[in-house]
Amino acid sequence: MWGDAWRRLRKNRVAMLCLALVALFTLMAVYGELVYRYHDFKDITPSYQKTHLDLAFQPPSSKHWMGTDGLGRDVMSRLVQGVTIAYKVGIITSLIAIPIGVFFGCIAGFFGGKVDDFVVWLYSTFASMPGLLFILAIAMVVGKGLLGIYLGIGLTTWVGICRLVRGEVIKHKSQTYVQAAQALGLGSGRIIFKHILPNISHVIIVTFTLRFPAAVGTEVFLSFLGIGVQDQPSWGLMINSARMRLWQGMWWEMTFVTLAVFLLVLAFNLLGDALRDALDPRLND
Amino acid sequence: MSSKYAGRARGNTLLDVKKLNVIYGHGKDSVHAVNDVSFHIKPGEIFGLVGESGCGKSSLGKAIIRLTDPTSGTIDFNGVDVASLKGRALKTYRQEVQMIFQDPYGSLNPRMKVGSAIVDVLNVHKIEANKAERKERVVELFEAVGLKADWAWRYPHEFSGGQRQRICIARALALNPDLVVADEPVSALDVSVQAEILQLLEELRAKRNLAFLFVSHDLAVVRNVCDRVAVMYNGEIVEMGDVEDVIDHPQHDYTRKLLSAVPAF
Amino acid sequence: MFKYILKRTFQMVPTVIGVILLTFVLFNVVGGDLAAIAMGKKVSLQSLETFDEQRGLNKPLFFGTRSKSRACEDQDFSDGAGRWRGYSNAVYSAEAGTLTLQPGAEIDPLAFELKAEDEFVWTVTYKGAGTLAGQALSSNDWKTEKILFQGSEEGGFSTADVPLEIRSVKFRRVVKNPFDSQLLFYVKQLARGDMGYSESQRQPVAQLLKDGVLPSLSLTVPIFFIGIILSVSLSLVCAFFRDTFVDRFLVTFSVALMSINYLVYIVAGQYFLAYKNGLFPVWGYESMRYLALPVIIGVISGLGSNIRFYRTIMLDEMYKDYVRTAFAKGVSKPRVLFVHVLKNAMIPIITNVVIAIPFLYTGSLLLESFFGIPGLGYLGINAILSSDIDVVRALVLIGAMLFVVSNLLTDICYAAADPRVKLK
Repeated sequence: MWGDAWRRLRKNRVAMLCLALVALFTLMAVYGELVYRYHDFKDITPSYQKTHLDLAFQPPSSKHWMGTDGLGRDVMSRLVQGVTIAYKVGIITSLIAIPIGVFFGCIAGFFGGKVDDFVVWLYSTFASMPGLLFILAIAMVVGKGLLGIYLGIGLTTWVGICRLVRGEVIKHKSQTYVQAAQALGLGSGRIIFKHILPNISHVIIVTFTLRFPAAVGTEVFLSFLGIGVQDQPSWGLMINSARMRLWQGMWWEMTFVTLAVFLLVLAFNLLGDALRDALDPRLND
Repeated sequence: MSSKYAGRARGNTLLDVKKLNVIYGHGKDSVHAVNDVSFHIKPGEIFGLVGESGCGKSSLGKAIIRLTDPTSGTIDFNGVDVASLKGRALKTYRQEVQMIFQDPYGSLNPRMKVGSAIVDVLNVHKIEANKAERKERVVELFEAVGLKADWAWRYPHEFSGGQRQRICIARALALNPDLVVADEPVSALDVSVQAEILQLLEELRAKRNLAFLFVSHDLAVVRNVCDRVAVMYNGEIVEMGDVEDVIDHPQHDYTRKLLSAVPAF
Repeated sequence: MFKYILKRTFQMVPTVIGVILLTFVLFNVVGGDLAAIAMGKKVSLQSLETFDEQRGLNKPLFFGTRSKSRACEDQDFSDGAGRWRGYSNAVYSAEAGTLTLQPGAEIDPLAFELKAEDEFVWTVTYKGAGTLAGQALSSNDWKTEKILFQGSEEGGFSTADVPLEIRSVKFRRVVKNPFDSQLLFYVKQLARGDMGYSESQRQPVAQLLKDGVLPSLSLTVPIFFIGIILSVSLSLVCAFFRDTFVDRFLVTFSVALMSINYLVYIVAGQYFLAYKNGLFPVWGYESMRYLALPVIIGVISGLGSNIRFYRTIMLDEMYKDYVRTAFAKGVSKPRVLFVHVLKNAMIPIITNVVIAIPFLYTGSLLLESFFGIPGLGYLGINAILSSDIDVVRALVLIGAMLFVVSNLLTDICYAAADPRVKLK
């Protein structure tokens, strides 16, 4: 199945381009994280945080490819750090949402009855909450900073995953191989997690690819509003500071940051669509 | 039919079902799938259960293997009532009674190598001491059902329907059961393959003194392999006896109707 | 039909309870010290206590007979002396983990005057002799004692000629009715229709909500209708030119639209259209002209996902038998599309439309705050930024309730359009 999907994916030129772009962003994220760790370990201020007021507002040049910002910091190196933060948010929120969603979806779909009623009640309650406002409220209650963002996004996106997984598990539960496993005396946990879960893993992968850009977009919002990231170069903060400068004609920071957000989100969205088509054509939102 | 199990089985009976009822749902929506059914199976016997689809024969088979819970009645297996077993006792019972399903395509996990699925079962029941021995066991089972040993480490989609059904039989044998519920085991297969699988079941019965509850809608097949047969209609057993008696001298109207629908008789 | 509506309304109850519980858990349980979140740490304990009391936060969460009071925090002297360091006639020993009150000391650790009608209880672990809240303490060994007293009485320590050593103290208010909890207070408050009081705006939340509805609706309603008309028409174009260049272009275009962050639309729109070219006012809410730009941005930002959604519906519909039959009978393509397909696609479209209604009410958080439209979204963002708990909670709760209700409406519409639904 994975082999077939890969063959189908390889034929899709747009998808391969997106995959390359995603790989590039991933490299940037890893590089950014290494730079951050290195400076953190050595306890020195990294160059992307150092202010050089004499170098402020320089347009793109051979020295600063994307120009400098209002405090004379190189926009490009801050942009790369922004990729790191975007990835952290995308990955950690998935690490919160996917296990919760998969667990509840599996037990609801498999056991049915009262367990199912409870899980459906739980996710319809969460689904009723007004999206962005609920995330903001969680972030407010937990406190400013990345933790609030992680929890806010993570605790709201498990609902969609749970719903999908539940449906898939119900579909698989009626298949004979699950009954055969029961007849062979295998425990419910083993059947769910060792036998059914591998069969629905593609659903989880596609969901991850499509949730990732949404989480990044939300982080940009929250940081922009000043609720998210506080002192690291997040894309949201960069857009916020560049917004006012734009009116004074400093176009470069705004342009490059928004371009980066756009490319990252677009690449993940298109890749997610292509993965969905390649792995399971029946699966559409 | 004397056998090595004769002493163990009480009164030469392996399975004794009495007044079994299976009711799905509640109130006015409920369906009485199995209605006051009683019969018994001897060790090493192939017992046929015939009837048209929806007559409750599959529900009866699933109730015996405890995939569905019986509403009332007793299922006496080797002197123990298994109708309401739970937990560990039920798991032990799983080693004695196994099942083969109709659809050989759906009954193997598509994401698991067929041998690994059997190793998994051995693991769960703690049969064989270590990994090497368990793999050795898989090889034995594969050879016993007429498959090449090195096929064990392939995925289900690489096999044909008949081969898959052999794998399912090997998996059922992994726990060394005394009784196998075979729910329409050949009806999804080509006619030429059907004969091979039936042959294999006969062989296993002879070698291992294995008893079968053979659920089928196909009277020709039943007549070929079964010793005794019960005819089910609307959840009830309407006629039961030696296969020749029932098929050659049917007593009940429904049996006659069923027979008249088969051109060979 | 009536029976179905009744049944569906009844099924709504658990979700409503769930929503109330979830907002309660989020703010009261996870939130912890809401007074500190709302007012910061630099205000007096008395005003925090007042904040708590107004919102029932000085009660136990779900159930209980004791509740904390801000008048005196718990102190275990093996962890340090905390606020007790300041008393001149009390000596703190870090090694022993004790506070020793010298003979003749008089210490009142309560931060503010207690309410006279309430009862309070001290739990103190001590050695030596003295009095607490007017009751004698005397023991040669370490002893833990509970001292019950009325809020009108003196609540402090005093010693005569012998020192009093203290290891730990706890201070609690006695809750007379154990069910008198935060949860009950919250539910009662909701039953009264009381939405709370905004600390930052110094107004009841209900008033703020009332003031914000109209500006919000004036922004969201045009976005909503223009958006539907535009995206349904474009999705019909997709269906009409299915698998041609036009279709593929529109699909790619929608993904691109979806991938542009909302912020970018706002920033770019404000910069290019309003600031550079002066086509629209940049900020404010004075006349219809001020709404034009936010409406355009709102429509465009939602267009991508809507086109994709409606296109899927149209294509699903086009694979059905009746469409093939119509084609076979020689009905023209535009007629099949605009009459037959559109008519049958109406049910999923309506579902999608009704479900979006609660979002009309809560307004657009970002559009409103960037264009200075004094609606509920603007209110919400400001409330988040100034940690105005009651406002945020009211908005979340109302949004959720409206969602539940519109879900119900959708199902009823669905059942009215397709009688088979009721049987399920």
